[in-house]
Amino acid sequence: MDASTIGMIAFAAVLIMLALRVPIAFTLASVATVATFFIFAFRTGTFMPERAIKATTSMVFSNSFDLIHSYDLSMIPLFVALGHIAYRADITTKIYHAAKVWLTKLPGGVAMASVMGCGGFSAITGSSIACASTMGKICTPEMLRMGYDPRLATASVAAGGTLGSLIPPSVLFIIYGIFTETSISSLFLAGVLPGLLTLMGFVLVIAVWVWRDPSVAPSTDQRYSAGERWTAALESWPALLLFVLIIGGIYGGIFTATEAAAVCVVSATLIGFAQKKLDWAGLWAAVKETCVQTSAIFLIAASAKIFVAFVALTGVAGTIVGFVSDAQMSLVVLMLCIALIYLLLGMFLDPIGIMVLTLPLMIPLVESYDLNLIWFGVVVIKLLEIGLITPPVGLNVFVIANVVGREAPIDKIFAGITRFLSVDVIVLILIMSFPMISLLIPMAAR
Amino acid sequence: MLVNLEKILLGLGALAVIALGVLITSNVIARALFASQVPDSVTMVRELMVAAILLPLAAATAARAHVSVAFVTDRFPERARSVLIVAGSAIGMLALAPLIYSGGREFLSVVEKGSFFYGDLNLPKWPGRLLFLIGMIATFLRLAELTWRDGRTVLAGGVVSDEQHHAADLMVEEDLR
Repeated sequence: MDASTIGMIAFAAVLIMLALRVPIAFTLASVATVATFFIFAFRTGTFMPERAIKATTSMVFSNSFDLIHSYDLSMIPLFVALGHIAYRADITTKIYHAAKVWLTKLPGGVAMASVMGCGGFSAITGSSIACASTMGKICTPEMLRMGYDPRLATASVAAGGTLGSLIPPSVLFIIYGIFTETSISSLFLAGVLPGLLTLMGFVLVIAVWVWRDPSVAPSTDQRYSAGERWTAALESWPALLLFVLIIGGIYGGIFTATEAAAVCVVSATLIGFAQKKLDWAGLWAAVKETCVQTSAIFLIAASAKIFVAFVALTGVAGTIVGFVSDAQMSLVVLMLCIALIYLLLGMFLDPIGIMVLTLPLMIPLVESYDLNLIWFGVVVIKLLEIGLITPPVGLNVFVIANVVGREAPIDKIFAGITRFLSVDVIVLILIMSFPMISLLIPMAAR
Repeated sequence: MLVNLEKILLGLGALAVIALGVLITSNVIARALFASQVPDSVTMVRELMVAAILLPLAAATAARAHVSVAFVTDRFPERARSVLIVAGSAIGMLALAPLIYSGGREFLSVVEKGSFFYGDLNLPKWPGRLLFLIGMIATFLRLAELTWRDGRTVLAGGVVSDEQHHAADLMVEEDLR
């Protein structure tokens, strides 16, 4: 049996096992290990299992251990810890509070504040689902209490939560950086403008929605004095400081992304203790939550690394690149095909799963077209972000549905999401058509 | 016993995360203020990463925190879903077995050779390999326990769920059982 045949069988096995609910990490590692064993065993033409065992286990160990035994990737547990610590230290909720106090007078102001709160939360944490789940608990019940239409109250937070993937720091960018060997700092900087563009688009959607149908967001009598507004704004300084440390530090070349993560974790902890919002028990709980979350992420990444090494052995990626070259596909058609694949997968799979499954095949293809991998990373993350709110498996939608319970059934949330999806599609087209939107800041930072 | 082991490993993993933050920040401060750096900080961070990621893996497994695709099987009957959950744990053991075997071989090899990282402190290589092995073995044991426990439930006509426990639940001992 030749390597490419084993490769095809392995891909089919992966898809079947994933469909049968086998955890992504276990699927990738077990299939890659067994298939690699067969490739080595059949290498000389006859089946020789003895020599295959050593080669396979060495390959499996070196790929998984080297990934975990990494200095650069320590930014993942640190950024995840930053999110948990900032939440427990009340830093993330202050952003939403400040936005709400300033915008509450505007029609739909609390929904706009929710989206901005999500943007601010995303600037500190790296996870869309964490963003939707945390902000969903704070903003959605408040909007429902104020008489907001459940479609607006839920969809604004579900869509706002997706900003966590694009606005740095983002766990998805870090994982993309690992698998494509591109600069994670550059990826972070590349996500800033598309993230802000999406945020502004979401705010615009709310404004237009409320302008056309004022009943979806009843106005509130609650008014804040100028003093209260400035106090709320000033109280959100820790969030601003952390964002400036991350982006300013990386942009100014003062820190690497890993160092920015560590400095921010220590800063958030010190601020939390100084403001008496965080205690030792809270810190310990936040770090424990971080450990559980990151170990699950890393097991997927390590398994994917083994899978990538296996894919390289099979030569399947080369076959696909050859096939696409023979088809003489134009760049526009190629990008449309890639977008379609990611959007379809995004309807059924989670973002990390999609990335680790597709990147081993996509990257050689994209490199053969001489495309910029930083720009392509932003496109991929934007597509994955869209997948978080598209039916039938829009993870963020399920997170919000879980928070609000019967007050807003899934179909109602999806009905509200369509307006935000239109903005996502427009931003995606802009990012794909004008790579400078993504590349401007990384190029300026050089 | 497994619960206690997981709690200890999770605690050690949490300490490693704190150490990561403190070590890297110290290095930044040392560089900014004294134009120097903590000796072998990169090697220490890399070794701490193994502790931070792999020691809590068994606790994550106990909390069923591994991501899977439920879209297709959500349409299956509960019993069929339960069987697939047991199969998932068994496949997890299959995935980890080669890692434990190769990790053990690697650990013995670096101990026998007395391998170390080149640097100011010439730190030994075995601690990272040992942490890798401990994390993988503890996770394998938890998967074996889940396969056994869930398998018995299914055979007795019951159903099992892989609904993720919130990570904060790990603070409560009952939730690990």
